[in-house]
Amino acid sequence: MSWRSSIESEWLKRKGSSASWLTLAGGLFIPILVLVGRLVQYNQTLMDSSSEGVWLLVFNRCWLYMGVFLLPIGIVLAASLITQIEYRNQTWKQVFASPQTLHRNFWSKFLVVVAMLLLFFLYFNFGVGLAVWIPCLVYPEVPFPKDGFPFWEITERNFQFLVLCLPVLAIQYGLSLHIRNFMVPIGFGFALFLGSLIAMSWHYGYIFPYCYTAMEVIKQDNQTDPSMNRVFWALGYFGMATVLNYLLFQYRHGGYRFFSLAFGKWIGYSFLAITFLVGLVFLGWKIKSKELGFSKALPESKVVRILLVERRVGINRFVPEKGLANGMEARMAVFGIKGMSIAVIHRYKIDWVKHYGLADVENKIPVTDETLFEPGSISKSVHALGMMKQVESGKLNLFEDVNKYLKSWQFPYSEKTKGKKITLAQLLSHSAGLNLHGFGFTAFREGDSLPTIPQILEGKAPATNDPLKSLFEPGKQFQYSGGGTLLSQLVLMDQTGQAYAPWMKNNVLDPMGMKSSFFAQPPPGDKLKFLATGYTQMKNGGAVEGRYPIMPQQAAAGLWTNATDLAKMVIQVQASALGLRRSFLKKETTQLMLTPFHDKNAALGFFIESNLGVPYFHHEAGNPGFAGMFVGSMEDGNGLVVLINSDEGEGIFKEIKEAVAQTYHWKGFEAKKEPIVKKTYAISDDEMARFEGVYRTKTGIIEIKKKDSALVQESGRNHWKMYFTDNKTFFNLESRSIKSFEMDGRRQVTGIRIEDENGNTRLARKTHLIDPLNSVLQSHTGFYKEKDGTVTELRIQNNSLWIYSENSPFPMKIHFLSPTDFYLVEVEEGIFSFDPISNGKSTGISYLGPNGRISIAPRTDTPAKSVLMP
Amino acid sequence: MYCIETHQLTHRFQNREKVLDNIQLQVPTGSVYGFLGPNGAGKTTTLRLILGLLKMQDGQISIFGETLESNRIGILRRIGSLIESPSIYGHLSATENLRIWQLVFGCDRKRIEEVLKLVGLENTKSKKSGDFSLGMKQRLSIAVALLHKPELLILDEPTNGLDPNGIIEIRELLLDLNRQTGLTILVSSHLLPEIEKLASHLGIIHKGKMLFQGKAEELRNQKAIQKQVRFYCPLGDSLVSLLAIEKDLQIKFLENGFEAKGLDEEGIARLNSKLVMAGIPVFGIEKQAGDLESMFMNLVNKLVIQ
Repeated sequence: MSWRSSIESEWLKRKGSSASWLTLAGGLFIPILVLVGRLVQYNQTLMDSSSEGVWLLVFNRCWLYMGVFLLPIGIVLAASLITQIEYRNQTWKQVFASPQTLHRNFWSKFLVVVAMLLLFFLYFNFGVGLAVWIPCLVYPEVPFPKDGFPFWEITERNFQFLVLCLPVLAIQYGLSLHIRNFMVPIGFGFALFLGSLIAMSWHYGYIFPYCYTAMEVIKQDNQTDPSMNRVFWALGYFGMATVLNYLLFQYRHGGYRFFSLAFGKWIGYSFLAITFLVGLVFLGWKIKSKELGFSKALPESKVVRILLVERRVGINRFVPEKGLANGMEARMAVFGIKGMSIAVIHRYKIDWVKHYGLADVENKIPVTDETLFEPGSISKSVHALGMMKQVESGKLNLFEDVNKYLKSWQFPYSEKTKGKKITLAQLLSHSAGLNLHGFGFTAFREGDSLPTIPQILEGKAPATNDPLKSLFEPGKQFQYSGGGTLLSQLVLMDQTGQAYAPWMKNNVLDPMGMKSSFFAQPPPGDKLKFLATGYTQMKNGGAVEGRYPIMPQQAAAGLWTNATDLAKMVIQVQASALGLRRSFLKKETTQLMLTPFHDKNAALGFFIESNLGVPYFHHEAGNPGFAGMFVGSMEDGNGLVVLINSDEGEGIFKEIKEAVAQTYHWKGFEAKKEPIVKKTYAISDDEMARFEGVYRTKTGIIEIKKKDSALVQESGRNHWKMYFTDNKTFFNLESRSIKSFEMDGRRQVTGIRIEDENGNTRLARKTHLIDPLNSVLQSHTGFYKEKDGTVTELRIQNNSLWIYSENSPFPMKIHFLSPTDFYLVEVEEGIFSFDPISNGKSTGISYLGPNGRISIAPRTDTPAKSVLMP
Repeated sequence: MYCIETHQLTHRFQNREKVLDNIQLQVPTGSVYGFLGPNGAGKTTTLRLILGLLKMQDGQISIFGETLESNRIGILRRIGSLIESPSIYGHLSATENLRIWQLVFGCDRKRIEEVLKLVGLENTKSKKSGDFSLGMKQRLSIAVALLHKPELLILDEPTNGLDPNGIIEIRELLLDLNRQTGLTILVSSHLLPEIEKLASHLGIIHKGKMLFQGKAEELRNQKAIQKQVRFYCPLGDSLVSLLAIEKDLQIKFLENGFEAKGLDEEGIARLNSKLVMAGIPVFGIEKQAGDLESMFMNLVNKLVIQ
């Protein structure tokens, strides 16, 4: 006759009782509903199971319904029914006439009720497991959860709900213990539950314990004081109700005489109870303090997620204690970006879209949902989807000679192709060995007469570009070619016999839900009011002539779109890769499209990058006045689209991608530590003046400039504000290294010492820019031909030497460090040098790398035709 | 030596009505004590008080020479009880029901089979006890009471719902247990004939008062002598001399006749014919009611008839 046997006997009583059936049914009900939902909604299930954190997703989905209604009601019923077993069977008298103390009667029954609750949780979690696993067994395409079971998160959440529902349990146990008619406690419980639900809209609603679990899942309608710790309230209620129940039980059944006798023991039991409560609190605190459980969880509020991304943009290892101007607008200002749209994709859905800045500065038109951008080469990805659609339906073969499909024009094979034929797969993956990198210089304006595609390919007026031709054997190496893309556009047009823009609208844009996007060039009149104005570096941030370029090279650069539409495209690609039903492409086609072809990064219309072995598909884009990027994960439905109406996007794209990847825990992106807050030092104007200048590292140039009364470190396209921590040491938000100026005995600045995270240092020595004599500049002018066949022209303009390259949409100014050595702001970390002069002209250009001098472009006589911009 | 002894046990309901008034129950060890009384007499209240199911208000109860306050667990461990309706868990089988109490009392598990056989429920298997007939439920309750081999068995109307055969079986069972193990049995009933065949001792309670307590034979004797009959006839010498011969009778003369005690039915007829033969006209014969004793007789009759 021990506690064990008393509890065992109580446990036996619940066997097969309605209370235990209710526990089973209540625990499994919601998970089974969710399971059925998951089985029916194949696409959603496939996306969920392919995303990271499917365990928590399903678990939380189950809790949503469970917490609001089922849990409190279930407890009301079960706690009432289990004590009602004695009333209904008229067995109380037998219980009290048995040789058990009243404490034992009370506590063993109570423990059974608590155990039933634990069992309820067990069933529930088991059900969640089924809801996650069974769809994987039913559908072979649905993957089993890849990431490990989030034990701590699940335990923490279970624990939270367990504690939050204890008050209901204790109160209902008490009520049904003392009230013979079981309808009374159940009715009372229902009334309290409803009352508590109503009280949720009241500031002090937390005093009602019946909807603590509901509050946990309904965040929006919960207007109770958020500073109140519900867990402590719940434990308080639970403790109070339990002690009260016990005293009442003793009073009613034991009478004063038993009570006085029992008092000594009662102290012992209350110790037990207190230990139990303290244990609960301790365990809760222990779990709470486990950072592991929280670091991976995404903030539940979209506003917080956006805020996190915005706060993380442009921040790395250090932040200043004061004067940190971070946030999206601040970063846009740093990069001189006027307007921007961002779309973030999470779990195969657009999580949020947000717009920043102005679509048109002059007219102060903000960027909105309706604003359209013309980012350029992203067109190639959308175009590739259309091509693949035709391939999928058997109308085009990726590996046939393109001339087989071409009717209006034939590609002129030359001796360079070495008898090999050019295929669509090569055109889409830039491996056909063709010229015509981009069309930045060959954009058109309103009113220009526009060339047809064959005219562009032939290089005939009104087209202003070179004719399309082979540079080398097809299928050998990667050579980015917008011309090649355009050739594939002609293949599509000839094959379908339709104009490109309407065909793409009907067969690609509309089916993917890209309702705002279009390929029509010039843009149709009814769309003009939505078009953003492009702002270009070439005009120092001024508007593009005619507000935006007109790109008759549609497949290569002519898409007008917005972030929402591009996000839909990214999702369609991801959904197709996953094999969702009714997705745009078949799984196999998509996998083929996203597999690098010849090159290790260039797939068909998409580029594949790998971050720590995790693949992402992406494309960047730039037209005069516009730039954009998208990136999508191959596996778990994450993605990002950024569009801007400036042509300088690289810096901010990188920062936003990094911030989104951190916030959404993208795979392959290492979690960064919180930035270190540094005290800043205000340096004087004198000091600033001393630090200004040009510094030369082994491989590149750093310029220190004063801008808006602060120093800025510029290297390549990076413009990094300098935050000083003392009179010579500084850091940048964008960089992970810490830098300090070196001085000689006369306090003359000699260089910058750069120390990275691992303590490695390198030195940038102070150097000077020179303005060579005009005769020297003259000796460098002319044409140079790179290994890939790209021809570059060097010209003198405004007493400076400029590079006009086929590969760059803009001319680049040459900054001389000596009469022969120079660097380009646009090319990060690179110092170049002219080869020795012969016959009054330099013989070529070399790159001064860490391993010495490498010749990159010997002089050539071939004139470049593509140089028409001023 | 009394197994149960109460002293001035008095109990009131919330409306202050006395349910028990000064009850002095004395159950000798080893006896089968029949606790008789009509419905509402206070039998169940007394039994509940004995078991500690009701809070005691006034008086004392000693069981095995101890009080519940001093050794509740120790006393309850030696008692088997069945109070009012059957106490069984309807959603469990007979074996499971017994298993509960086997755990609580900590007795041998083999007892479950034994008592099931004892009450004739060994073949119910997994049938839910909620589906049992009332008689089967009653047997199961008795099995529960017997499970831990108690020294004292308190049974409240144990034969409720049993068919005549069942009643006999249970009676035989209880008598056997009493004879073989010396088990003290306190059994309540509202039917005298049923108890008469079983009880060695009787207590009769009515409206909260103990009317009779003693050995079963004593009651039978009392039944015989308790008759009181009033004869209406003219008083005269012949009557006095006639009645003087009837030595066994207690005679009390009245204005219009006499009262006689100690007459059974035949005696009344015999006395009447004597009077008639002696030429004394008898105008009427009336059985008397009134004081405590006659009330008791009414009660006993009632117990017999019901």
